[in-house]
Amino acid sequence: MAQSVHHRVKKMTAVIEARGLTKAYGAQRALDGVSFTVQPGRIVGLIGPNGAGKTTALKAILGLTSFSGELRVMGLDPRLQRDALMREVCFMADVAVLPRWLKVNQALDYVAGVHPRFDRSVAESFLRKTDIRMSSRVGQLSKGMVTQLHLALILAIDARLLVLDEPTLGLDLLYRRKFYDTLLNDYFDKQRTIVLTTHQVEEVENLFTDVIFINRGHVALDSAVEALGERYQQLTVSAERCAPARALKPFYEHEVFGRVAMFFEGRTKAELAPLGELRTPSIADLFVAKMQRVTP
Amino acid sequence: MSTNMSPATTAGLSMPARVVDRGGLQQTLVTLVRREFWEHRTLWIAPLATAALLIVCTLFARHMQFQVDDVNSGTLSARQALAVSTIVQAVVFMTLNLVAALFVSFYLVDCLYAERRDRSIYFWKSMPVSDGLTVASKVLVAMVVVPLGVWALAGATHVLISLVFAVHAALGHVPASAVAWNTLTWLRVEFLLLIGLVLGVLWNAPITGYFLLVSVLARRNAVMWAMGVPILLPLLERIVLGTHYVWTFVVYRLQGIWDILANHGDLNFIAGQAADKSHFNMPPIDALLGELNFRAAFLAPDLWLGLIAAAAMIYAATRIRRYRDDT
Repeated sequence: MAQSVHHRVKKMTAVIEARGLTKAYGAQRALDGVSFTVQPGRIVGLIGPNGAGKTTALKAILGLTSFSGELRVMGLDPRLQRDALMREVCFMADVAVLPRWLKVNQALDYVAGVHPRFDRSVAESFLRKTDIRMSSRVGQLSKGMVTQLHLALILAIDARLLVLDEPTLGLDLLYRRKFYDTLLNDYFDKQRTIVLTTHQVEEVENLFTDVIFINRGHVALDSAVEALGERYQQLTVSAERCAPARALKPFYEHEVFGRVAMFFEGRTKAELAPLGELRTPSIADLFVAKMQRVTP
Repeated sequence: MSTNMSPATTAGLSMPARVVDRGGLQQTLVTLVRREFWEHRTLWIAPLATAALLIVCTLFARHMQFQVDDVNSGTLSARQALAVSTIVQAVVFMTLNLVAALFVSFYLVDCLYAERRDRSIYFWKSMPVSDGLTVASKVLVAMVVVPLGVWALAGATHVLISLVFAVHAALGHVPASAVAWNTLTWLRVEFLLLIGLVLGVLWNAPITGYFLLVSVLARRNAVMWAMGVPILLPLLERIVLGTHYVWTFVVYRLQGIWDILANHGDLNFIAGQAADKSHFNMPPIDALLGELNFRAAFLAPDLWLGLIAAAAMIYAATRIRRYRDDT
């Protein structure tokens, strides 16, 4: 019995399965045949420059926009089964989408009234730790506090998938830190999945278990973070020792203080280590390297 | 929140989803309707304030007199006094309705537009509430909750006004003969007003649908689109073609039902005549009822065509909200 349950959990289907996702706005293709899979219990960073198609991808996942291609979220089609899907999925699009006229206690009343999986006491106990008063209107709160309120609502909803689109845009560092700490400590567990887009890659790169780079409507990279070290290498060499390293065909290089950082894909440690200083690139550096290659 | 510990749940089986859903749907709808009144506070403040104003006016109306033909407010018979009370009842109702209709119109034009303007639609759409239920809650507010609320408020206001007049009479401010109360007549008038209200709401349903459609479509200036088209289009027709079909149509869709109800006469004229003919000797409701044709009004093809058009526009608004993607 225990064996079969274990087996079933292992065989559990992906949280998100996208194949050939395409969406055009007029002549411009926001998504051009994008395919990726998100497994349960992961924290996935969807990373790309402005206008790369991140938000369009999220909108498709949430059933907020039409598209062509195949897409299953929690086994459901977001185009046809959006209402059922929203019981399982929570999302926070950008900051400050809570309307200014809404009072804090009304926000709690509202979510309690419409969401079968909302636990009001969780939201209330989180809010007690903040400076937010129940009688305040959203319009009276600072941007950081509005995000805290929204986070309180999300923490209290028992959802399987949380989608965050630039949740900390425009917040100061302290609020950003607190936001991600709360997310990781109070929300995330191995049964839940988080998909997150952000510009501030450096700040949250330790959070991700997986990254998907999107650029110009295409997936430029899709990998588990622990597998990045296997696939990508960053080699730093002095300018005069560039030639042998260059012979191994780095996909991107840039010069810093007379030294050259080169990025390789699929090279072994044995090949590169003798040539200079070798390390696994940070997600932020890898992102820049990947985007530069695609956008010459 | 719904932690019903039925034997099924304690045994580790989840309750059948449908059982949860039925109670949930009602709760969701109640929450959605409450939400509308949180956002659009004028929907309840404006009628309440108007009612309060009417009552305050009667408080100060210590020396009210009127003279219609040979009927003088100082020398009313009991029947005439009752007729006056009925007229006041109808006027209070119509005043509050007019105010409510104005604010409901602004509400309808705003309700699917404001959420895109302030991007709060992303919050509403992050909840397990369908577009159909969302639009339904707005239709419910405009066509059921506010009209019924205003009807009840008008009734209560008239009772209070009557009480104030009774106090005025007791204090000798107005002649005692000018004050009359008959509960049965009052109830009959309330019922008549309710039927009229239902008729009016149904007749105006296409306007509700049109405002919702404008609200969901407008990129900016939703009010301009909603109010501007029915005003500018007839003007344009007048200037270019010299005709006035559009204007006739607009006016017909606004109040044509009352002509049908009054057997293609003018309802206000008939009501006035009814009161006049009887020299206030008969409660105007009896005089009026003889002139009205509710059967013809409720069976009017234009009423039902309007309802079909309204349903189509409301459905379109729902579909458009589902995939509207311009925020």
